[in-house]
Amino acid sequence: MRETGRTSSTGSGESSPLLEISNLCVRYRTTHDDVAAVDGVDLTVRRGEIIGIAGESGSGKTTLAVALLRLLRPPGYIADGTIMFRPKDGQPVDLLSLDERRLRALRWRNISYLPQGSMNSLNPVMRVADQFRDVVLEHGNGRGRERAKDVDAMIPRLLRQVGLDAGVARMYPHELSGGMKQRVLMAMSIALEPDLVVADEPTTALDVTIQRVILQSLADLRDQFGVTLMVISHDMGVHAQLVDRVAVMYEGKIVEVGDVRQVFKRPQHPYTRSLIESIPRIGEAPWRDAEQGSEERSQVR
Amino acid sequence: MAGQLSPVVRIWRILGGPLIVRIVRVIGSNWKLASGMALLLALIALALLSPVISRLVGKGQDPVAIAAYQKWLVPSPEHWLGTDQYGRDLFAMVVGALGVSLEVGAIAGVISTVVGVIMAFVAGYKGGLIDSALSTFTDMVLVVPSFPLLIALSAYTKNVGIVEVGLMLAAFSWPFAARTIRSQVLSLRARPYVELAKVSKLRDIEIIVYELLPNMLPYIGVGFASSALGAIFALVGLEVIGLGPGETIDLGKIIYSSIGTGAMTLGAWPMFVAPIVLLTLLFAALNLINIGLEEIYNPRLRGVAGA
Amino acid sequence: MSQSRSESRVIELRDVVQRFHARGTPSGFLTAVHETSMTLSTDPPRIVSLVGQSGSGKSTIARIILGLQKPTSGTVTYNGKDIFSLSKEEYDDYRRNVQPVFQDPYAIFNPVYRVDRVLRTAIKKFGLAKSDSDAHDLMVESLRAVRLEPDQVLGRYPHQLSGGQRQRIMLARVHMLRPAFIIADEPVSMLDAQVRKHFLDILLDFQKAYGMTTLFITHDLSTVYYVGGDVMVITKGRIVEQGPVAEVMHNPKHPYTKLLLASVPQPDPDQRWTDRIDLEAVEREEAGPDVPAGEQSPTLPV
Repeated sequence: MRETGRTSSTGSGESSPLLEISNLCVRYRTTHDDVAAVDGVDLTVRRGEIIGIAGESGSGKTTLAVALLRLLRPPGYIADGTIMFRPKDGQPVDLLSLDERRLRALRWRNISYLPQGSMNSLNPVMRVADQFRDVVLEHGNGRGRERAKDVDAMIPRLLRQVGLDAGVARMYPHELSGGMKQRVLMAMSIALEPDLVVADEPTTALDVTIQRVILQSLADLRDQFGVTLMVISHDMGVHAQLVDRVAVMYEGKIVEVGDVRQVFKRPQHPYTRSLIESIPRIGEAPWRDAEQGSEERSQVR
Repeated sequence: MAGQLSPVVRIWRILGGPLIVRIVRVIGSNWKLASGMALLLALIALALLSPVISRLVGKGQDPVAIAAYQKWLVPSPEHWLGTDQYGRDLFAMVVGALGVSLEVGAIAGVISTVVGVIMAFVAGYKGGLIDSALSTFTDMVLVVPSFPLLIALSAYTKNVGIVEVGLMLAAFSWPFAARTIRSQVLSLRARPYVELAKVSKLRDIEIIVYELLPNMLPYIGVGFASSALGAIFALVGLEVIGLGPGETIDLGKIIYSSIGTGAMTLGAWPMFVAPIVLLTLLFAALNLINIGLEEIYNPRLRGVAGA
Repeated sequence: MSQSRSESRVIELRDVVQRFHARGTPSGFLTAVHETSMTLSTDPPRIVSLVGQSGSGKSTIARIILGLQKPTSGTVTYNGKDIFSLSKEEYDDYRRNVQPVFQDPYAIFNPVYRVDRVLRTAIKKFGLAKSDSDAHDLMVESLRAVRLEPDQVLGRYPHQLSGGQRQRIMLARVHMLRPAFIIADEPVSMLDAQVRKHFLDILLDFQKAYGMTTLFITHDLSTVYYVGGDVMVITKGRIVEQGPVAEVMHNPKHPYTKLLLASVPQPDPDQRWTDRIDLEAVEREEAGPDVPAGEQSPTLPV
């Protein structure tokens, strides 16, 4: 697939891509035939970039993320494809052929996942600090088991990173607002300094005021930690404000991928064009055109 | 628009057609539900055939009359399950008893479901004081220890018929149905389609019957299957320890008889085994129906999407 | 069945307060709406947007206006009469002229019935047609008015149609009834971008062609701008600013409005935020952890 616009270098010294998805096919078994949710997707993710996956409901973007992380459950199944993942501290692996044990070793340490509505996946009966410890001690092997004390020192730093007060560590999830919970999860997701963080609809279901904070924090994750980000969202505004490159999905296929400015300004694929055109923008509206344009207004009956 | 039809006809017109189709489609889609229903229908058919079987076995005489045959005969081509201590043909007896057990289950199930549904709908839909009053009453009945009470009641009701037995059992099982259904009603009444019905000037009773009831059928079905099952086994439980109201012979009474007379040691094992096998099949059928219904209405339990 | 629009109709809220019981709060209840007053009129017909975040009270206000929720105190009147104590004729008139469009196209249909039923019930309950064939013609006309092909939609079950089709059937229902007021609670939040624009265009058509006034409730400022008219900004149960859309969105006066406008991610990569947002200001405005049901921000199903 030809990319739209020129590619931008993100400054990392590594030349090999972090993630290479080839011909990924994910299907769902139904009572009639199998339905293809992801239909032959090819995508390369570069180290240190923020890549956005855009698309409407049913386009397959969440299924793509879930399949990538091997969290797919029946009736979904992976029908074909490979996903080469090149972590900075290990051998390149095909994520789709790993067994459960080696996948567990990768999760949180090399790949983190912020699922949709993830603020609801915090354990309601554990304090924030305990959940951090849980994650780090469970997944932090290989670097010599981190001790509880090291983790405790890490927590305030991570919380501050996402704009939260260190005191949040002592709180229970129900004492936090949606935006704060989302940021706690973001802090947890980078605790082990992974190569890749996959965020699925990180701003949906949050107030628009807090959305900007989340977008800011996500950008900080890349700028200050060098984490590669994959951001999945149906909100084109999120992509416009945050990502370097964007891939547009429609009916299970990637119809366009490229530099975000190029995709917005000069979309090549007809679907992308109609998608960009139908985004409402503050400053543009039919009544403005009517005001500024013709003198005639339709009569009220 | 049309002239006024009787409420029953109107309800049938609106609910009947689409509902029957939907029910048949739904049953067919789940093997557990379908097999459970098939098994249940087979057992019911067997019980309904009891008079026919009696005639075939008896060849003119009543096979379950006392001293119809020799007592304690072993299973043979003439007496498939042998005879009991009074010389009654066990096969005919057991099939007849199956019918009685099913009747008791059905009566208790229907009464407790109807009562439970009415209580649940009124309490759940109306809310407020009515709900508080009805729920408190329901909880009070729930808390009453049913088994000891049934034991006590049995002492006074040795000579009642099946319907009264069914009533007694239903009196203790309706609160379970009421509670489950009420919580479903509470969750359904906040649905947007109910609010749309309200702004379309539908009356409360219309909303309950046309909007809520069709969506409650699986829960009502589960409630019925559970209370029927509970009633049958409560009765068996009472009879096995020698209590048990009523004169008519059901499966529990046969089991009790077989224990009391030491039938196993006499080699008349069918007297013990046959009723238990039938009860197990009944249990399996009703549970398959329950599990199947749950699978249909909780998509996460399914392995396949769609339908 | 034409509606005369020569008489203007008015919905008025006066000092409406809504409190809900809430365990765990110091006072024992949660105030969703604080003394709120507003007037909606069909003279002239217009679109009035009520924009706010989750927990702001906007959905509660919608339910109060629709008579689905009785306020703790304050009055709601339709043409001067309290909507909770109307005579039969007045009630019929009120119901006929105040109709909703709800948010979730998946939950708006009873899954047991075909989608036709929603239209037929409206016809029957409001006496819109005298015979079955008139009723059918009416349905076809309204479906075409919202650009739906009748044979693609009639006779189907809800799960066989897309979210956009379902939401447009709701609009067809509104078209049949021609109410004076449409109370639209997040009508496009669960729709895809292109369907969304289409839907809003139809709402604007209704205003011009049938003189309907729409109360457009949403959290999305960009769609507010698109539909124009007037806007009220609500937060934590209080309306903090109101006025014509151009005025409020280009010259916001209240700090909350300014914060809202600064937070909308503009879909233009060349206009990225250059400054960092003030976290404290945001956290002060954020909805608290316990938000009453019905006030949650909408999510798009994937």
